[in-house]
Amino acid sequence: MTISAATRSNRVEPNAVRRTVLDMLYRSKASHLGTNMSEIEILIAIFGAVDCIKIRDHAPDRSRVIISKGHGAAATYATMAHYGIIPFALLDSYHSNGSKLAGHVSHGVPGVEHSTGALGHGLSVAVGAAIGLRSRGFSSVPVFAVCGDGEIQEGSIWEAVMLARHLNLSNLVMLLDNNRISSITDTDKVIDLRPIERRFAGFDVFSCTVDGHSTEAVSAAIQRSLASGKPGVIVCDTIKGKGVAFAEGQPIWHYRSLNDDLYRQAIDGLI
Amino acid sequence: MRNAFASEITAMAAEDPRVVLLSGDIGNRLFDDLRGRFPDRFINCGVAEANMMGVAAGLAMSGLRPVVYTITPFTTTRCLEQIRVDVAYHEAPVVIVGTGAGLAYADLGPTHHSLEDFAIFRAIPNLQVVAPWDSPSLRSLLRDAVQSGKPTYMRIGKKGEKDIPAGEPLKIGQVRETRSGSDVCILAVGTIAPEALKAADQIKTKFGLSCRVVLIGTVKPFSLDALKPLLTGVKTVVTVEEHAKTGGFGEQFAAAAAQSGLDLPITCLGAHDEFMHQVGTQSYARAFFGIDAAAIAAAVRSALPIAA
Repeated sequence: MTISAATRSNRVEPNAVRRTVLDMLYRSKASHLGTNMSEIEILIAIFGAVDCIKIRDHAPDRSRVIISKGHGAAATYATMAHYGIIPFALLDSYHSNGSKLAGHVSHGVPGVEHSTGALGHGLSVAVGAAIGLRSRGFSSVPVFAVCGDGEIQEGSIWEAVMLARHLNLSNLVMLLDNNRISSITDTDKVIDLRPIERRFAGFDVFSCTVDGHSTEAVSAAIQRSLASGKPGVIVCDTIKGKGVAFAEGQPIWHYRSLNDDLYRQAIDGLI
Repeated sequence: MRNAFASEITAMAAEDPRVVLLSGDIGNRLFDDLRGRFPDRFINCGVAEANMMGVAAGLAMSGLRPVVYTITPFTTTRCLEQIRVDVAYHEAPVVIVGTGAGLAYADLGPTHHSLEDFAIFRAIPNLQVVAPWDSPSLRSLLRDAVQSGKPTYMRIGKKGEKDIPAGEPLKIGQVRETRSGSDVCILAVGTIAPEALKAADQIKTKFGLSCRVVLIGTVKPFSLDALKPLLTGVKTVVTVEEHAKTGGFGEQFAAAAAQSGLDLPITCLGAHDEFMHQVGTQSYARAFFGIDAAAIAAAVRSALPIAA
């Protein structure tokens, strides 16, 4: 079986990426289906807002895209393939012996800016990248960090938000995949941070909440953030496992892998 | 040493626009010159060291050469995962400087002691681990670390360390024979150097033995070959460091020596496995942990019964 390649166009269809991700997870028997499905429109909006050729070519003035929730690796690699940053053939090796495509994003893969998997790191690195770009005269080049709503329980996230606001890094945009479930249960039951947007607003950054499964809404929010003159936090309300009926909102799909029947059911269920 | 650090980093910033200093709200007035001349190249990241280390990695990713500075435990164990993942794993050219290393802040208590850093960083791939002993060695190692483009941890003292003449500017990986002798070789790591020199005097006076004193400025990368010529002819070797015995330079040296078949008695001096609950000066703490001149002399006496 080969990983399905969707029609390449300027506009990447979420379900085309979902099919690619399902193929990758099914082949590899890997976990993290839920988190990969929830972040897809966010990733499409980000990579749709940047010059992917510069990312592919590692140009000094490329936009920085840092996937802080590193377990969203399959969706990241799939989206990058759909945008032409990495070849689809590379996806065949996901999660297999000798591959560079681990279950958490790795900078061993060309085009991946930073390896994550330990949570709470990516936003700090993004802050550093935003300062660095500004100091090199690329202050209009955006820096994106994708974080999970469970991840923001890590204190380093809030350290990074404080410094980003203090230095007024207006080219920095954090997108929060607010799928409301972390590793074993609902994030609200672990540490209730609702209403999340207000937590960030309290740090005086640009903040808004959007439907995280509307690429258009996320894209528009990115533009609003970049025009705000402040670092931004976009709370993207999402559904963990989005598009796969039996996995939607089910914490167990952080861990479970697809068998033949469920894979077929998942593919057939995508409209 | 911290004054030397401040003046050297300022000089380097003047020469290389990529050099930027990050501080965890430490260095009262120390960096006024740097801040005055290059306000954008000094970033006070606040009391938030985990974030500071990640920021450093992000700066490095943007082509800059960040140097991170704060009190040793807070630039090491406080933000260890950021060092391991964001800096070392990515081979990000970040230089991490810990001030007041070892027992320099003995009187501030164990929260400010740093006796584990070599052990931890020796086990992390890609990191260079250096330990200058005075201002000139600090200046040359700092330059070499930034120029190397490799992630580097440098532990430095506090203030008032006396310069020890050691010839050419020190490079990473080099050692310096600072006193010649034929009976005993003392390998002294970083800031403990003055105790080794004092011990050499005591051993000469008390036992009539001559001591070769070799200063070690690099813990990693380690090469036994660089030391072998300095061990010929001596009857015993003593290593001393302001660090735990566990995982320190001595353990590394002894393991390498054993595996290479080196036939010499080796004594490794370092802090024993205990947090120090007593308050005291750095000298007092060094005596407490058995790494002062008297302890070095006693180790030689034990190793060579003839010396009694």
